[in-house]
This record gives sequence, structure tokens and C-alpha cells, in this order.
Amino acid sequence: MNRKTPSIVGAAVGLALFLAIALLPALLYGGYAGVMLAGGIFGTPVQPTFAVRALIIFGMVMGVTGVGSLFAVGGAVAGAAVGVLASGNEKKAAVQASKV
Amino acid sequence: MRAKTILLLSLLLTLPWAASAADAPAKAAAPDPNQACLDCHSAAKPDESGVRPVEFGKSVHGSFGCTDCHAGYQAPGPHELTPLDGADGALVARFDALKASTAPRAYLACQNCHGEVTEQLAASVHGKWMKGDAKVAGPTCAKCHGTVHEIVKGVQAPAAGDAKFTIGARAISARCEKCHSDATFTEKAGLKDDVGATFRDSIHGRLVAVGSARAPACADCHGSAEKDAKGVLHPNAHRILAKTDAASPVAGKNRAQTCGRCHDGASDNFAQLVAHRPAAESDSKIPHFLHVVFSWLAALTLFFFAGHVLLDLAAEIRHKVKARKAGHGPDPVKEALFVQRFDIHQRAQHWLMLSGVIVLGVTGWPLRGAGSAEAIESSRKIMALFGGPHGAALVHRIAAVVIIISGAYHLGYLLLHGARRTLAFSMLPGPRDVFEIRDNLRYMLGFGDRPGYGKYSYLEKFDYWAVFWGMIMMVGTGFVLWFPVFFAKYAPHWILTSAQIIHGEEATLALLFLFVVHFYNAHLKPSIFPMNWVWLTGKMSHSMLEEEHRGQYEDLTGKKKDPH
Ligand code: HEC
Ligand code: HEC
Ligand code: HEC
Ligand code: HEC
Ligand code: HEC
Ligand code: HEC
Ligand code: HEC
Repeated sequence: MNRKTPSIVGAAVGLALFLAIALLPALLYGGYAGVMLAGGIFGTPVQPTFAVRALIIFGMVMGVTGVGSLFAVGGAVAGAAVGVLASGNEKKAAVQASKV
Repeated sequence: MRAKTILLLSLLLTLPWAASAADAPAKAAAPDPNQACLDCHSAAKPDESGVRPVEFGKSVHGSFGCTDCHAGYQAPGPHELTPLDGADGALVARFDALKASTAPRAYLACQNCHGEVTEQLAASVHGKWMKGDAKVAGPTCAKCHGTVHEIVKGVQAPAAGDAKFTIGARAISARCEKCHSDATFTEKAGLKDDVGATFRDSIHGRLVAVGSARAPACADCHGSAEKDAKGVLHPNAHRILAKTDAASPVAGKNRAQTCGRCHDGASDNFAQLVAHRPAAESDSKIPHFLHVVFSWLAALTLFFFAGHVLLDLAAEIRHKVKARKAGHGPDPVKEALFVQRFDIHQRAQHWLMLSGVIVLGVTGWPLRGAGSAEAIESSRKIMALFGGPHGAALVHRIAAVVIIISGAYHLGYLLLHGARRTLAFSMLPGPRDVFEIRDNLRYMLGFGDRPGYGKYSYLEKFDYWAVFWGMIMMVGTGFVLWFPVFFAKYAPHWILTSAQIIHGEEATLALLFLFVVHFYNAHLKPSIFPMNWVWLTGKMSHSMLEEEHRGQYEDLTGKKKDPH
């Protein structure tokens, strides 16, 4: 098994988890970040002009990418940790097997 | 009329006695005196006219007869009522004229049992419409308490461990907005229409929305408070006054006392904060200016680096395709050789920083991002993981301490190396970076070669120095928000308002930058995915070093990259 495999599996699980539970909040939070940036740049109350909409969509994309990355990276790290533990056990098992 | 009510009440009170005196079958057969009315007036749905018998039975008045409040009504209807005169008649006429109620006479009954409340309400700003000229009806009891037939106990006991005040029913405060946020209503009544929106946007409004039992809702600030025998304060929503009234809890010196119910030692300066004012619109121009500057800063930085990520991704894909065509994989010898890149202290500083920042983001953003109904639902759930918003607030502070420790650790580390004259200046930006930015942009666009970075590329230097800037901004403003009463004693209130703005805007920038740009560069980039292991092992393979830091690799090995 490649050293990378467990963490790639972990990243996939993280991403799946993201799609299941965090996609919607990430969209909402990102969009809201866009609204707040628009408030500072174009003034409040925010008017639905093209630039404002673009900024909100940009916020949504950033939000989804950011939270998605967080889940994927979290998953990758967890996967790597599991991989290290598992290979540790394998080694132990191998050591024990060689003793017998 | 009152005599009649009391008579009816005493009749009613004797009924259970009569029933319990009889045997069981007779009891089952005892007719419910309200049934005669319910025959025509029972409702099935919440907003239907009439009474939902089950909900009525569960309400605080569930044991009452209909005629305890609806005096003079007799089955069957339509009802012939004796006309009223005097003060009662005038009041009912006003209710009718302003279409304030479907059964105005019933309100005359409330004072029989809730005399004090009725008087307080009449004397408050919300009682004016019942007396003088008014274009719109102010609140009846039902407008605040909800359907009269379904009133349940609303006042919450003081939160455990915090028994200084009671929290008035959240549901009631939510109803204030039915009038105060309704633009047509407020226009007719000559009121501001944004108090609801500004409240929901405030720290208190957000806390209430995501489930705080300690932050104030409308009635908690606006109700004039009295202390009970135990010294617990009860904000009384029946005694709300205009802000121009000297006795109002939000007027003059009273305001600091009102805030002081929860913020020990609140000064007049402190009391100027938050209430119904968007942070950027304070008396001083500075918060507004900072709001604009930080919004531009965040937007431009994120734009630039988002573009950078996209270009890099395109270059990565091109590079991969080329490498596959050329048919050479990584060199196993270079894969097995490593250089030490970070020592254990550097890695530990990074571990502390990253765990702190992630926790800060997870506990902080839900509060800042709670801007729409759906987002509030998500925020509530995230906060619940930490035992509610105050649990999250505690965790947030602990995480803040963790990143402060990380920062102090790093500064100490730098000082030590400085003293030992072993401080490497490889992180300092220099002219080389400018050329490398140019070369890398060209490379990513498909022209020329990838620059042979030294130990740190310009992206890594940016990451590093951005943390300095971010730490100063976030920790500095975070302390102001942590001890707002203290800072308000010594600093003008625009400093506190500015702190709030910077904390939020800088957090947006930092989190999006880290999770999108830094995570891309250190983890998600195809050539690096799933991660650059150096943050865990401190080591980097020669093959990666050659790829990512060719300048350093060449210095190290004296080798030039084989020309492919
Ligand atoms: C036979 C059906 C019937 C019965 C029984 C009945 N009502 Fe009514 N009630 C009506 C009708 C019809 C109206 C609407 C009258 C109108 O619009 O003028 C009404 C209206 C009302 C109203 C609304 C206010 C108003 O004056 O229009 C109240 C309050 C009320 N009834 C109370 C009672 C109570 C209390 C009882 C029992 C003591 C009762 N009713 C029994 C038919 C009935
Ligand atoms: C605690 C006092 C109280 C009791 C008890 C009470 N009512 Fe009412 N009722 C009111 C008030 C106050 C209103 C006016 C509601 C408003 O302004 O929205 C009202 C309104 C009504 C109306 C007018 C239509 C509507 O839904 O607003 C009817 C019909 C009615 N009540 C019937 C009944 C019947 C039947 C009972 C007994 C089962 C009953 N009420 C018991 C206080 C009471
Ligand atoms: C016959 C006496 C009587 C009349 C008339 C009466 N109430 Fe009550 N009310 C009570 C009693 C008793 C309670 C229960 C108090 C308790 O459990 O502490 C109560 C409780 C309440 C509460 C609960 C507050 C809380 O959160 O604890 C509200 C609100 C209320 N009444 C409103 C009204 C209104 C509005 C009217 C007039 C339409 C009215 N009452 C008429 C006797 C009355
Ligand atoms: C943290 C305490 C606090 C809370 C919570 C609060 N207010 Fe206020 N409110 C104030 C203060 C302080 C003022 C006076 C503002 C001023 O002088 O400009 C005020 C002013 C007002 C005014 C008068 C506005 C004007 O300038 O004419 C209204 C109406 C009002 N509040 C309604 C509400 C409503 C409705 C809610 C809930 C949605 C609410 N308040 C929540 C503190 C609070
Ligand atoms: C402006 C909104 C508002 C109006 C109007 C209002 N209430 Fe209340 N009431 C409240 C709130 C909020 C509470 C919870 C405790 C507090 O803040 O005083 C409450 C609590 C109560 C209580 C229980 C606690 C106490 O103070 O005894 C009673 C009884 C009550 N109201 C009766 C009435 C009656 C009767 C009327 C109509 C005459 C009325 N209320 C009108 C907002 C209102
Ligand atoms: C039925 C609509 C209605 C509801 C519900 C209502 N209000 Fe009001 N409120 C009014 C009207 C109308 C006025 C203006 C009264 C006047 O000046 O004649 C007013 C005035 C006020 C003022 C004084 C504003 C000033 O001039 O400084 C405050 C504060 C206030 N309301 C707070 C509240 C709070 C808090 C609640 C909920 C507990 C609430 N209101 C519920 C209609 C409402
Ligand atoms: C019913 C209690 C209560 C009242 C009254 C109250 N607050 Fe607060 N306030 C809170 C709570 C709870 C928080 C959140 C504190 C925390 O998490 O540290 C808070 C937070 C704040 C903050 C933000 C500080 C921070 O830690 O982020 C400011 C500023 C503030 N309140 C100002 C005011 C002002 C000004 C008033 C009076 C007009 C007021 N508050 C009245 C409970 C209250």
C-alpha cells in the first residue's frame, strides 16, 4: 500500500461528508461574506447591482471551496493518522508473527 | 360589569366541587359550560377565528369560562350586547375605530385580575393610542402575548449561575418586530423602521438568534426593571417608554445601568455601543473608513489569490500531461533522500497556530455569518456542538490563547536564534521575489520556466508575513471585544466599534485565504495532494525540493537540474 492511499481515502470521505452536511451552510456563509464585503465597498444598504451580485457569487465560491478544502484536508490528515496507526499495528503483528 | 364577572367566576369555582361530590358517571356527563360557546366558536387551525379547545385547556386561563372574559355573551349568537358607556365605552370605541381587536370588550376583563399590568401598560408609550389621537393601534395584550386563548407561561427563570435578572419571553420580543419592522406600520406611527434589523445584526441579536439564553432581546433592554426581594432584576415590558422620556431605561444615565445589568461596570461611553446602529455608522468617521478599507483589502487580496490558484491549477495540469507524455516518473533515489526543512519548534508553532485558527473559525464564523434565516439554523446547530453560543464563546477564547501562545513561542524562538546568531533571514522578502512573481506569472500563463525558488517562495513569504499582520489585527481587536467594558473606560467608543469591524472583516479574509489559498498550495494542488508532509515530518524529499525550491536544491547539491 502506498503511503498516500489512506490519506487520499480520508480526503474523499471528508469531501463526501462536506457534500452531505456542509455544502449549504458554506454557500450561505460565503454569500453572506460577499454581502458584507459589498457593503464596505459599495456602501450600505447593498443594492443588487451587477458588481454586488458578482461579489456575492465570488463569496459563495470562496465559501464552498474553503469549507470543502477544510473537510478534504481534515479527512486527509485523519486518513494519514489511521494509516500510520494501521501500519504500526501491521508491523507489530509482523514482529509477533516472526517471534512465533 | 365587573360584578357580573366575579359572580360568574364564583359560579365557575363552585362547579368542580359540585362535580366531585357526584359519582363517576355523573362526572363524565357534567356538561362543560364552555361547550355551548364552542359549538359555534371552535377552531381547528392556529389562525382561524375562534378557540382551539385543546390549546385553550392547556393555556394559563384554561380553567376559565368563556364569559369570564367575554362578559355579557350568551349562547346562541349572534349576540345582543348592552351598549357600554363611560371610560369602558370610550375604550371599546377606540379599539373598534382602529380595528385593534376582534373582541375589544374582552380586554376590559384583563384588569380584573391583572390590574397592575393593565395600569402599567396604559401609562407606557404603548398605552398612548388607547387614550389620545393615534393613526394606528399600538399593542393590545394579544399583540405581544399571542393569541389570548393560547397564552402559556412565558417568563424564563434566571439562567443557572447567572441569577441577576430574568429573561423576558423570547417569543414576545419576536412579536415586537411585527410592528416595529413593518414599514407601513412604522410610517403611519411615525417610528423608525430599522430597529428590528439593527437589533438582529447586533451581537445581542445574533446571540439570541443562535440560541443564547443570556443575551438581551427587545424587552430586556426596553422594559423598565425592578428588583424583587431577592435582588433579581425583572425587566418589565409593560413599562416601555419613549427614548425621550427621562425615565426610559435607554435614556441618559439610565442606559449605562441597563447595560450594566449584564456588563458589570458599564460606563456611559460603553452604553453608546451597539444599540440599533450599524457598526459603520457611528458618530466618528473612523469606523466607516476602516470598514471601507478592510472590505477593499479583503476583496482585492482574495481576488488576486483566487486568480493565482486558478492559474496555478491550469499550469499544474499542463505540466502533468507533459510529464506523462515524456514518460518519466519521480526519481526513486531523490525520493529517498531528505533535507530537514523545519525543526520540531517550528512544527509545534504551526500545529498550535493551525488548531487554534481552525477552532476560532468554527466557533466564530457561525456568529458572524448568521445573517439569514437558513444560515441562523446552521449556526445554531454548529453552536450546539459547543453547548450553545456561550460554550462556543468560551472555546473561542481558549483557542485565542492557543494562537497567542504559538505567536509568543515563535517570537521567543526568533529572539533565541537572534541571540545565538543562528537566525536565518531566508523569510525576508527581497528583490528576487519580485522577479520570481513575474516569472511565475509568466510560467503559469504558459511562457517560460518555473522560477527556481530559494528556501521560501514568495507565496510562502506572503503566508508567513500575513500571519504577523493577521495576529496583530485579530488578537488586538479580540482583546477589545473580550473586555469591552474595560476598554470603554479608557478609549473612545469608536475604538470599540472599529475593533468589531476589523475583527469581522479580517476574519473573513484570513479564513478564506487560509482555507482556499494556503490549503491549495500546501495540500490540494495536484502535484502535492494529499499534502506536503513537511508540516508533520519536518523533512522534504530531494525530488520535491528540486521541484518546488530548485534554487535551494541547486545550492545544496551543486547540481543543475537535468535539462528535459
Ligand atoms: C349559535 C352559534 C353561537 C353560539 C352558541 C355562540 N356564538 Fe358567539 N358568535 C356567533 C356569531 C354568528 C358571531 C358573529 C357575530 C357578528 O359577526 O356580529 C359571534 C361572535 C362572537 C364573538 C366575537 C365578538 C363579537 O361581538 O362579534 C365573541 C367574543 C363571541 N361570539 C363569544 C361567544 C361566547 C362567549 C359564547 C358562549 C357563551 C358564544 N359566543 C356562543 C355565534 C355563536
Ligand atoms: C382570558 C380571557 C378570555 C377567555 C377566557 C376567552 N376569551 Fe375569547 N377572546 C379574548 C380576547 C382578549 C379576544 C380578542 C382577541 C384579539 O384581540 O385578537 C377574544 C376573542 C374571541 C373571539 C373572536 C374571534 C377571535 O378568534 O378573535 C371569539 C369567538 C372568542 N374569543 C370566543 C371565546 C370562547 C368560545 C371562549 C371559551 C372557550 C373564550 N373566547 C375564552 C379573551 C378571552
Ligand atoms: C379571572 C381572572 C383573570 C382574567 C380575567 C384574566 N387573567 Fe390572565 N391570568 C390569570 C391567572 C390566574 C393567571 C396565571 C398566573 C400564574 O399561573 O402565575 C394568568 C396568567 C396570564 C398571563 C401569563 C403570563 C405569564 O407569562 O406568566 C397572561 C399573559 C395573561 N394572564 C393575560 C391576560 C389577558 C390578556 C387577559 C384579558 C384578555 C387576562 N389575562 C384575563 C387570571 C386572569
Ligand atoms: C441592548 C439593548 C437593546 C435591545 C436589545 C433593543 N434595544 Fe431598542 N433601543 C436601545 C437603545 C439604547 C435605544 C436608544 C437609541 C438612541 O438613543 O439612538 C433604543 C431605541 C429604540 C427605539 C426608538 C428608536 C428611535 O430612535 O426612535 C425603538 C422603537 C426600539 N429601540 C425598539 C426595539 C426593538 C423592537 C427591539 C428588539 C427587536 C429593541 N429595541 C432591542 C437599546 C436596545
Ligand atoms: C409590549 C408588549 C406587551 C404587551 C402589550 C403586554 N405584555 Fe404582558 N408581558 C410582556 C412581556 C415581554 C412579559 C414577560 C416579562 C416582562 O418582560 O415583563 C409579559 C408578562 C406578562 C405577565 C406575567 C408577568 C407579570 O408581569 O405579571 C402578565 C400577567 C401579563 N404580561 C399580562 C399582560 C396583560 C393583561 C396585557 C394587556 C393589558 C399585557 N400583558 C400586555 C409583554 C407585553
Ligand atoms: C401593535 C404594534 C406594536 C407592538 C407589538 C410593539 N410596539 Fe412598540 N410601539 C408601537 C407604537 C405605535 C409606538 C409609538 C407610540 C407613540 O409614540 O404613540 C411604539 C413605541 C415604542 C417605543 C418607543 C419609541 C420611541 O419613540 O422612543 C419602544 C422603545 C417600543 N415601542 C418598543 C417595543 C418593544 C420592545 C416591543 C415588544 C416587547 C414593542 N414595542 C411591541 C407599536 C408596537
Ligand atoms: C440581558 C443581558 C445584557 C444586556 C442588558 C446587555 N448586554 Fe451586551 N451582551 C450580553 C451578552 C451575554 C453578550 C455576549 C458576551 C460574550 O460572549 O462575551 C453581550 C455582548 C456585548 C458586546 C460585545 C462584546 C463582545 O464580547 O463581543 C457589546 C459591545 C455589548 N454587549 C454592549 C451592550 C450595551 C451597549 C448594552 C446596553 C445598551 C448591553 N450590551 C446590554 C448581554 C447583555
